[in-house]
Amino acid sequence: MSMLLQCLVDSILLGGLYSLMAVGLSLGFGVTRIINFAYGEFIMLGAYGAFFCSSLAGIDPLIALPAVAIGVALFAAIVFEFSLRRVLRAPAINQILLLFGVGLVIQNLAAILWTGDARSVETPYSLTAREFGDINVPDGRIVTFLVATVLIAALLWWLHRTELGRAIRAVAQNRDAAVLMGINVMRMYLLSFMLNAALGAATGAMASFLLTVTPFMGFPMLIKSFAIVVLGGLGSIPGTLAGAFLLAFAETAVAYYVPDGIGWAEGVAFAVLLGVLIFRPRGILGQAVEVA
Amino acid sequence: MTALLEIAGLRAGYQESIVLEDISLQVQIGEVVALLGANGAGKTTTMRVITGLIAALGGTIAFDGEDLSRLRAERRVDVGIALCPEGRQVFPNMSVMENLLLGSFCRHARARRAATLELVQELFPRLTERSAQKAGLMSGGEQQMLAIGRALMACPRLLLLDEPSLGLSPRMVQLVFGAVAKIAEAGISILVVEQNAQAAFSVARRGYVLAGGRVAAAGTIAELARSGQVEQAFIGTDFFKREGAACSKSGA
Repeated sequence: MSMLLQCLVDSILLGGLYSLMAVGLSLGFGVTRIINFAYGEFIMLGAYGAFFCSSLAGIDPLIALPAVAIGVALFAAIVFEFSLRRVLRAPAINQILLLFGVGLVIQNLAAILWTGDARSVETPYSLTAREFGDINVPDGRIVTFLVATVLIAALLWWLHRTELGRAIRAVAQNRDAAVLMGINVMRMYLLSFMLNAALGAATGAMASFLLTVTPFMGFPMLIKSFAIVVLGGLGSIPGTLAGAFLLAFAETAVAYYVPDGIGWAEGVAFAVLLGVLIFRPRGILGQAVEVA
Repeated sequence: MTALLEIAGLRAGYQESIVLEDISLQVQIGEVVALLGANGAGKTTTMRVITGLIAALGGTIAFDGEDLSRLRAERRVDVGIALCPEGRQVFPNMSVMENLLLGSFCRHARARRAATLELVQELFPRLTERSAQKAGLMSGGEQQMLAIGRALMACPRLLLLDEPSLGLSPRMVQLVFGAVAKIAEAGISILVVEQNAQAAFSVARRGYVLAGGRVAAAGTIAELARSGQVEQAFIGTDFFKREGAACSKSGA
């Protein structure tokens, strides 16, 4: 019983971080209709940003998070201006290959500049934990859950309550009609790509004290984000949140209940991806392609 | 009168097919003009070129004396052109209110948002009742009201209406065109595309008949109805027998 409870608590805490991670990918896709295959690298850059702030200047990853997110978003703006802008009307396969290539370049640049060594960030809360009866809850996980919740709430508020947020949703729902409203669609594409990168970087900054930081940490994160977004239905934010918690639960349950499950847990995302594509290609909450 | 919209020798189309061969037309300030023609005559394409959604390949479009060709689509709302597109194109997953607010996204309209909203809600009380409703879940008629209301929120000087009667019940058509008449009374110039000639004739003073991407006929509504040009443009249907009778009645 307590194992089940522990498993549920762990999945919820993990689900918060997964939500933040996948919402970034989902938002970018919803607006531009392009799946950002360099998304994992934005997460990685966020993690390195937090690592360097911590190791060079002694700044806590959570304090560094806003600056790191903004920095990575600006970098994404450069990527957009110099590459993505040119393929906005191109077939999806061109866009995917381009972004995949951009991701590989960033990954290898990171390996050259910062070496392939595994790094980690230590914070006052990354090694402590709290006990609630039989349940053990690491403080680092609580922190990431809370920060992720606040960021997602802020994002949803922004999307629904501000002029720009509304405009970005308008572009996602009907591009031509958005133009007729006087909305500069290209600027909204750029903005959504930057937001996508900022959310990825925020995820990375928090992953910096939960996981090991390496130039290659992005790819599994991309696969997980992609599995969540596909699971939830492409472009649907409520679906993405549901998908994040489902994947977190599936992974945690496998780790707890399957013999040698910890190793298998990392593969759950692939199984989920395959399963959804075969049995329910629309995702759990999505329509064919429906948005925000 | 000065021409608010002046199109001369317009050519346009999509990739390899030219839809508009040679279109010239004018809308004067405060005037309601109907754009008629069969399917594929180029009516919607004309509207899309005026708003900049597709580029002109030749000819000129001037608005209030200024050449529009250098102005990007989203900037044309700023100068005072709003299109209520064919098939309504409301933002389906947003509330009625959010759709209306988006209508006044451009700066000059945002400044007058509260006052415009009041006028639009007065014109379409239904939109006030449905304020929190998701736009995609409303009936076709309600969506049409919303689409017109949304276009009005931009405080346009020229309102482009693309087939506002499409798919609506006769009662709803009456309601929508009643509102169009009121918008015209308020002094907003209107260019309206219609298949339903009777409805168009109820509000327009002049009309153009398009056929094969050219202007086949132009004149006052009474002239067009008399000449049988509308009938020719719609050839192959028994449309004009019904509509024509109705027009001559209402035109008299």
